[in-house]
Amino acid sequence: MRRIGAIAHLELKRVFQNPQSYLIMFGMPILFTVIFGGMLSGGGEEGKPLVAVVDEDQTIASASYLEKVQASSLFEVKTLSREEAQADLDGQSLSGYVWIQPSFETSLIESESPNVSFFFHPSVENSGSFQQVLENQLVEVNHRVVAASEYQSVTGEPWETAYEKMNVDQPAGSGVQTIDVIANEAATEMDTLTARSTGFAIMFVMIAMLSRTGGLLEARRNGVWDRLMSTPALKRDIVFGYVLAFFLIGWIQFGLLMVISSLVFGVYWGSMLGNVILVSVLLLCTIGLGLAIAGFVKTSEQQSILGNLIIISTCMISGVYWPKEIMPSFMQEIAAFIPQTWALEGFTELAVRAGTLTDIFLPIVILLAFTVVLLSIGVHRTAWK
Amino acid sequence: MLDVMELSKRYGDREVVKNVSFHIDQGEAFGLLGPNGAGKSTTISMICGLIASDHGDIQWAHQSIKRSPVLIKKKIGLVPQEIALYPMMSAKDNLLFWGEMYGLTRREASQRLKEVLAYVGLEARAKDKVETFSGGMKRRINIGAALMHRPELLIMDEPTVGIDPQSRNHILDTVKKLNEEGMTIIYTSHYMEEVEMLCDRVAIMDHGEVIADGTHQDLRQRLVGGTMVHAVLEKVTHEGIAAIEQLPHVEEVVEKGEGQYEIFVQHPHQTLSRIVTAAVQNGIMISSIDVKEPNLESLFLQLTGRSLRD
Repeated sequence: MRRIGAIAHLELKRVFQNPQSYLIMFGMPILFTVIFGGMLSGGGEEGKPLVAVVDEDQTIASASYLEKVQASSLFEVKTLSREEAQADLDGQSLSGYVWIQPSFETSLIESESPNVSFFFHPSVENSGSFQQVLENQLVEVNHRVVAASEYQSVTGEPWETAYEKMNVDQPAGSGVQTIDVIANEAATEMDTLTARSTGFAIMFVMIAMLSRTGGLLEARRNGVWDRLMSTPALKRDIVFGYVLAFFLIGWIQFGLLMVISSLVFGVYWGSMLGNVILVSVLLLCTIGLGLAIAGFVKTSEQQSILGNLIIISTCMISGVYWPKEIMPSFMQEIAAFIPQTWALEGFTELAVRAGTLTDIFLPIVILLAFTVVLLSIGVHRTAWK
Repeated sequence: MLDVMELSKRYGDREVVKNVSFHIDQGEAFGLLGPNGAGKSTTISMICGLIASDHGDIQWAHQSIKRSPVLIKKKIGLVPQEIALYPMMSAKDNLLFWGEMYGLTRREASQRLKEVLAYVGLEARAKDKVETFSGGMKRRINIGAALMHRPELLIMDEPTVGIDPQSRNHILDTVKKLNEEGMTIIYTSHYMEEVEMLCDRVAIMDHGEVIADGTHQDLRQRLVGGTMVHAVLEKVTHEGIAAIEQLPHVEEVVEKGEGQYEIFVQHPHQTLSRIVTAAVQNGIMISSIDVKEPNLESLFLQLTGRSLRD
């Protein structure tokens, strides 16, 4: 145990004694977040996405829904015909549109799925969150339609009157209070920076980890590894010492980036427990990747070139730089086989959809599977053979 | 104390160590001499447990390294041929780390640190990064790292390669001192002067085999002809060479080309004047002549036909 601690202590000291480490570990991800986050989110009122509403139902319920969408501070809203909306979306002058189909009100009254479709341009970063806000508003209209329908059946009043009576916001302090915990607008506004912060934190943790695991190749080259093996330390302890060191270095980097992004950019990361588990699994997976790459090359220089190529390209595919929805479908399918995709999925769930540990079960399991494979290959090829 | 028994190691078709055996007593300084590629480092690696032998065994106090590798590793301090240190870390950090890896607590390592720095003469540079050191200073810290846990056996694999004479002397003095204090030492080198100066007994290796071993005296006695007289001659005749070969105490005359001759003799001081007289009487002109005292280099030369540095 003492020897494991000695290796971890030395590696930590080696990293944080080197001023270059700070640039790679903290400077670069913050810079990239500022550049790409700012580029994609725009700013101020002019930065709001323009959303059209196509109301082909023209009923009381559809008008009520339109009113709610227009009241949202998230979007600029205008009404268009379906053809106009589609043309504007294709021409990228529109971020998206809501198509309220002719049987909208009827379907709500008959408790069927509302005939509403959402269309967003693939380049819209927060389409998922926007859609969720629109769906929340739709649920609200749906509740009022159901209530109005009940009211009408009991009182026999005309539908218009019944709906008007139900379409009144409850005053503060009424018996039932609704707390919207999912995708509130404030959380959604953070989404672009959250996505970039998360993505670049992942990417630069991977790059830093690549450099650290390359240290094992360096140790082999300069005789340090053989010297370690000539000590009474067990090989198992030496490997564990290195992995522990990489893990701690990774956590310090990721943890500080989370704190900085929260304080500087106001990024909301979501559940603490979920983040602790997700970051830990991601770090082990990253260490495995670094070791696996080191296992197939001879020098730390080769590892650096090959590793950076792999990390940067997979980060692009997985949506670190930009939303993966803007990429061709076959590349989106490839993304499912990349660890970063699942890490981002987990962070998005926690930060944007206020997910809990249960909600990120799938990303964690998949990342664990990557970890087992990569770490096994990496440890076997770099340290054990 | 240490028994190396019929050790063999093969890489593919190439047998790099062939049936090597030797015994080292406690407190002894044992030299492994041989040219590059002779199998010295592979033998050392097997003793340190870095690589497994294909055949044979190594025993420390009758305990096999195969059965008790950790126990034996605790007794050994290895000074590898490379500067196996962390260059960006200070000498102090390096020594403390290696002390801990050999099983010392942080406190024990800190206490031992000053002694080791004094041994290698680098107390004043303890806080400096190793990368700022000269080649010789790096080698001294490299030795220091192996001394932290007070090993019973210090194995030094070519510890003076590529350093200045001052550092080399410092290292040789340190090794001598450690040995005088009772530490057992295995010293590998292709510099026969170092081995001759430091070691009580020597094994000479070539092509993976021990071709000779024993004390300096044992090995000198094995040298055919004892001392070599090196002569550069002109106007050489067969009769003249035959006359030299007939002289008492002359054992062999070897022509090396371009007028150079190696004459192996016993009692060189008596024989030298007779060689000169015989040459002159037979019309041979002597351009130069000198006596080379027998050493391990000449023995190696005689046994293999090659120089140690070839």
